Amino acid sequence: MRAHAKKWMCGMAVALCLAGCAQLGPPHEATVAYYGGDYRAALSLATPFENEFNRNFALNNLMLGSIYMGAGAYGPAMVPLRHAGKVMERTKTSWGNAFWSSISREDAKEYKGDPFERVMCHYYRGILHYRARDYEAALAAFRRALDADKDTMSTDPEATKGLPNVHYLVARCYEMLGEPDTAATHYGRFASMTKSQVLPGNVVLVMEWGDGPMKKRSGVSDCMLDIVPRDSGITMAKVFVDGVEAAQVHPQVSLAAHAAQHTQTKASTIQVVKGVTKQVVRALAFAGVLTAVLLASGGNDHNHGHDDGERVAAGIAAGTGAAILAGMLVRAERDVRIWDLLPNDLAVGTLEIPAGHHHVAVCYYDTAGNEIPEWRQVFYHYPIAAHDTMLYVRPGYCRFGTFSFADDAGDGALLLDTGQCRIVPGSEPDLDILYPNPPALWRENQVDNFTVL
Amino acid sequence: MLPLQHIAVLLGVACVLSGCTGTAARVALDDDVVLDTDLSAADLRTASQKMARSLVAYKGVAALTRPAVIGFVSMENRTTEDDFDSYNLLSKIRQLILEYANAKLRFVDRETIARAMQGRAWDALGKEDTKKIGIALGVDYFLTGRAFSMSNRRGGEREVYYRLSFRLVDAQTSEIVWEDDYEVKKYGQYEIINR
Repeated sequence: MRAHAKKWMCGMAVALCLAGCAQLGPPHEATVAYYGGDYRAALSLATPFENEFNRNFALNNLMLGSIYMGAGAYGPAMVPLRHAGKVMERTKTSWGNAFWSSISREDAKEYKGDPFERVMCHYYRGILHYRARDYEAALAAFRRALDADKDTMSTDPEATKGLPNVHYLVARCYEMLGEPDTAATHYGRFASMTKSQVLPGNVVLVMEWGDGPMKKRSGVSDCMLDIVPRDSGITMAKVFVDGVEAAQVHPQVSLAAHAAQHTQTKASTIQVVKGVTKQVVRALAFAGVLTAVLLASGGNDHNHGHDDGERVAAGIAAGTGAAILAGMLVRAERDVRIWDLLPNDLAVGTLEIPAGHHHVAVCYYDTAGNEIPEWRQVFYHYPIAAHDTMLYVRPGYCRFGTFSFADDAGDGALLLDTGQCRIVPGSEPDLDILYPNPPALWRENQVDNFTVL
Repeated sequence: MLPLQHIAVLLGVACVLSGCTGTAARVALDDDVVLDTDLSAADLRTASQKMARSLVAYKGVAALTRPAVIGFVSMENRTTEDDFDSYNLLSKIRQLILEYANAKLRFVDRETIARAMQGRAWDALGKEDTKKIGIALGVDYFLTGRAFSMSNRRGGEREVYYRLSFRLVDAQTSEIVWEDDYEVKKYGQYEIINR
């Protein structure tokens, strides 16, 4: 009977271990495909996890939303971002997830992101609504982004002011909805936080670039968490409209710096408390199980034909094994899951561009002021409305036609597969567009019809 | 009789497996099974019933000698819910008003009003435009509203205040003849593991 009980325990241990092997999200190849500009491949790897209700549901949908937005598929991007936002804002967690996360792997809990990730989810939803000119919904999403920033445990008052970019977009929404007084309040907050002016204009420019922060474990038993920035080498951008420089753009927000603010003092104390608590629980589990099994083995008065020495040795071996298993279940390592497709640098501003179709080029520069040509983006026949247009620029590649690094011309020029556009790096972009009329794909007031769907 | 160890193991397996099964059940419309800080179905139902009763009890309605015609205008969303469905709320209020008002109140279809407004927002209409639309469609009053929310958050705790306000505007004079609101405040807190 004792042998059967041991077999049961071993079987359960194996089952528990195997249960953790089910794939919870897209493979790393999806991220590689995204950064390689192969959005079709990234989507094919990420889409199967859109409706998988596991502890990474929100994270999988955030990733899917990022891929859709990177591909320019702004319509489909809303659904996964909305689903992710709902889960991340939900205060309730299943008791099972909460229990296991408290004593064992922290990433057993349902992923709800850090405050800056919740902010970005609502920020993107706001951008999607604004591009569709649904200013009420955009305002709701941007206001939610401001609120989400206050979820921090940090005692640093700077950490709860909200991103200045979001204040700017809230103001813009109020302006579009005919509430200039409230708009002025938020414009004022943007101006005081960024020490910059708010200029009038019919085009709101929203830009992002770089790579968002990662998380790294540190400290005793990896019980602390550090935010690790990733440097893209880009320090500024320039926007050219029809070949003429229209704006120089410097980032107003660094997500890595903002995320690091949320780990100040009180948050660090909680981290330490969590780490120490888990170590204590681990030690107690080890000691408790060992003691229980040894007592059970030593208190058995039935003589099954084994002498006392063998019985005690078997009890010690079983007890040690069970205690080690119990100790292994209690883990102190921090949860390092993060929305790793986020940008780092965010910028917002206004441009005044006459209504009509225009060619807009965005060029990125390093600390030495040299352009980084592989990041250049060009928007052809971009429809600008007289009243209000959002020009949203995110890392990616030329959106019209497929994009090749092939140097057919031999002088470093970047060519489109269509062969009808030539961009010469190292100087002001030469937008030699050969289309006499906008292609049939373009529709009035709908920007960026190129998708991979 | 199974030995104690076997019973313990079986109970443990049962506990683990019970977490793997989902559950489904029918619940009462006014019960909030999944508690959260967003507006719930129960809130919307309560708000609809309160507004409908309040409007029907308004002395102007009681004094009507002929049925009055009400035109729906969209509801402003100033909450932090980008998917707030104002049409569903207004249509529920309409249904309840028709039920309570004993034929004293009638409604013009929302799409008819939207066509008459020609894509303009309600706030952009002046007094004369409102009067013209009222005369053209035979509308005596316009019913409109505003959904507002305000959130206070700190360290994983969240308190959200909602106010759903509705008003009846005289189509000829643009005077607000009736107004009422529904207020609710909700509280939520992330577990320590999510802070």
